Amino acid sequence: MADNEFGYTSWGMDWVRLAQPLKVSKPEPLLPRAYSIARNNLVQTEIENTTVRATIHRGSEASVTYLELTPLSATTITAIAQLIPAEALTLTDEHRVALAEHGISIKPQFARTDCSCRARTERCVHMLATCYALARRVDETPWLALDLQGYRTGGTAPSETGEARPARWTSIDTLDPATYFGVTAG
Amino acid sequence: MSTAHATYLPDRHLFALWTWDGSAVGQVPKIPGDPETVALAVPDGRGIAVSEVPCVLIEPERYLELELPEPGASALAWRAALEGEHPALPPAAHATPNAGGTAIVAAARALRVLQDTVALSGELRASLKADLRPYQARGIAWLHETTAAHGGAVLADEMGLGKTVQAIGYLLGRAEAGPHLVVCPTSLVGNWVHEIERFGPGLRPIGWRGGKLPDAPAGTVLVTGYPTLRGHGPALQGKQWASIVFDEAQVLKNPRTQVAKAARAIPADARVALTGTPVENHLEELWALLNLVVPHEFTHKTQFRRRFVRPITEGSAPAVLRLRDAIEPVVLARRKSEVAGSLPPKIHCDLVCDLTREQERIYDQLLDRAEEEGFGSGGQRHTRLLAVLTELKQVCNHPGLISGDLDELSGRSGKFDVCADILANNVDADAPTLVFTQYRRTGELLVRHCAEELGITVPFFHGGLNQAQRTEIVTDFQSADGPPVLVLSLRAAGTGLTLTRAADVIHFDRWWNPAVEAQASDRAHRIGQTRTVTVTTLTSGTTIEEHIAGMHDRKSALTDLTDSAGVAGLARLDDDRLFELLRRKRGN
Repeated sequence: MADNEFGYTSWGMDWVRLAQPLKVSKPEPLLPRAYSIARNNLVQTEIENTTVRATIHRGSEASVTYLELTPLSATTITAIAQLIPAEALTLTDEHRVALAEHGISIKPQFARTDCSCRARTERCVHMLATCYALARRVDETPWLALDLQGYRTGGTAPSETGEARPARWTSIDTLDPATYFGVTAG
Repeated sequence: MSTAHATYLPDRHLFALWTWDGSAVGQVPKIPGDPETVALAVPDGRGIAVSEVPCVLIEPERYLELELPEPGASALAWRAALEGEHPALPPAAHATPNAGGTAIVAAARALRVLQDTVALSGELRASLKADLRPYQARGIAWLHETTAAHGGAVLADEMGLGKTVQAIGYLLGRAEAGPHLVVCPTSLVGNWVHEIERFGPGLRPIGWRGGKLPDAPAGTVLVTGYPTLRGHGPALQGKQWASIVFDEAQVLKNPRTQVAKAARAIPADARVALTGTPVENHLEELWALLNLVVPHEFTHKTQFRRRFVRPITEGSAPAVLRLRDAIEPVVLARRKSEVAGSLPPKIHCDLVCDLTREQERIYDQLLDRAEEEGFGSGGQRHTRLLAVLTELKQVCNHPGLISGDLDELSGRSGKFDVCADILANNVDADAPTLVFTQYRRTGELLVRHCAEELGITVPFFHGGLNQAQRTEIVTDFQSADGPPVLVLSLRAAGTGLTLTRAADVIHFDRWWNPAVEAQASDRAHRIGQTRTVTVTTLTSGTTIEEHIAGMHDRKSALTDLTDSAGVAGLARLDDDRLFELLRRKRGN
């Protein structure tokens, strides 16, 4: 894979493609600005399951962008689970190729996008910058690409596919301080 | 009311005991054990966050005997778990956070790790002839677990924590799975064979230095050096190995070298890399190791570089945490300070180094000449014997000391190379080191080597210095920015000095009297020393040095063993017996 700033893995490239689709009818004048915002780490992203909340501060302007992704269907999730072992540490480009060969599309699809800025188009500079920022996050942790589409997080995670190995970690966010010490703790 | 809680630390196989007074972390529980501050995820009023909690660390074996005042649910659950039940663990019982502080060890994994490790140390008690420390038992269980899941593992414990015995324990557990291969630095082939014989009598070690590949049924461990791997790679590739262990795997740090290519081409069900270098300081090296043992997970160097190396060199702290979390499933690196409670104050690490061809040749020549001339009798016998012994011991140190050819230092003496590796490693890890030798010229060679290869100026403390110079060297070494290595003459510096800045001691050659060596080691291990001292002794296998080392084992109980007794003892033997002792034992 080419040594791009964003999208140096094929998983991250999917996200770059959201900002720069291969099929364009006219040039997108906002791209250079969006690119530079993401490049300078000006996008703060918070991810919760399939929704992304991105805050961008730039000069005197501040905006909040919401992206919501369409979760993968249960059949797609099962199909992916058969190709990618659950204990794989990192998703590699080879996994991505294998999925493509089996005709499984995992290109992210937006269910809803919303930005607090005044631009009239959905594809505002903030939304484009968020796509680049997510591309970087996905490059760093490719599992995020699937998780953002509800692969392990949407509650539809495949539990019946073989003997799923127990999770190594439990997220701190899912812990309830009230039951931290067990039921008997005062 | 304060309750006591127990949190299991899987990597160290220890329980951290701490108290909670209803709203905050309370005082350390009043029980015997090692107090330490451990990062745990605890409630902080609003939610749960990672903070430093004062704890007492307890080994699982001692946990059941413990009388814990006011035990909480977590403490009771672990008690049940140790008694073989499968209790539900409250989060407090497994609140060990990951590097990023975003998650804690899953309850099921904590329980499985504890019970697997306890079961494994029970099984190995019969077959492995070594007393495993808790973290070592965990290391072996971890190797099994990780190679089963990912096909490979990197064990990067700090030097002195017993990586070799963990690897042997692991091989013992897989003895039936087929033949095994151990690749290590050439000078340590003999040492590996020796350690496998000592710790794992169920395994059959064979030292292999090229030539026809011996028959290797299940349970055989073929031990070979990296140069042999390079030269005879194809012979090894023709076989499917059950497991392959790369000792001092940082040798393979450059994936483009012939030896690294040969290493990657050997088919094996499980690949284990052992390294004592702090892996996080050398990211490219780390990638090479990961690519060696789990190539399907770490395939692309450019991606690794983009993901971790570049942001980390640019100073990104989140990238460091991301890296730790990314490698955590396949890399286990424990430090001495983390497991100090399970360690004795002094760790002894005896390495048997192999002679090089050049050393073997000169050693034999010296003996042939001595045999021609004879030792004579009476007082003369003692003197001549002493002269021959000195020469033999010098060959063991470095053949150039006898032949006079000292242009090129490395690759000619097994001990010298091993010592050079350890020093390079310690300098890198910022661990000040003392090297003791009996011979001034050996010391000078070491100083020269450090200057040429490591680029550091190393002082040499020897008998030819006056009092002012000696004091200066000692104060200089003890100061915070002192030299990373100090070479000392055993006789001049063996007593009186305090050199506690060093926690690593190397004895480059063996002295007749173990008490003298012990006294020298105590330069570092004395009042003021807060760390575990690692004492490494280098012995040239099959030579007179092995005889001396053997005498240590037999006689270290005797206190009145004088320095000359060893030589005198040899002088009393008749010529046949004497030469039998001095001759190299060919069997190895």
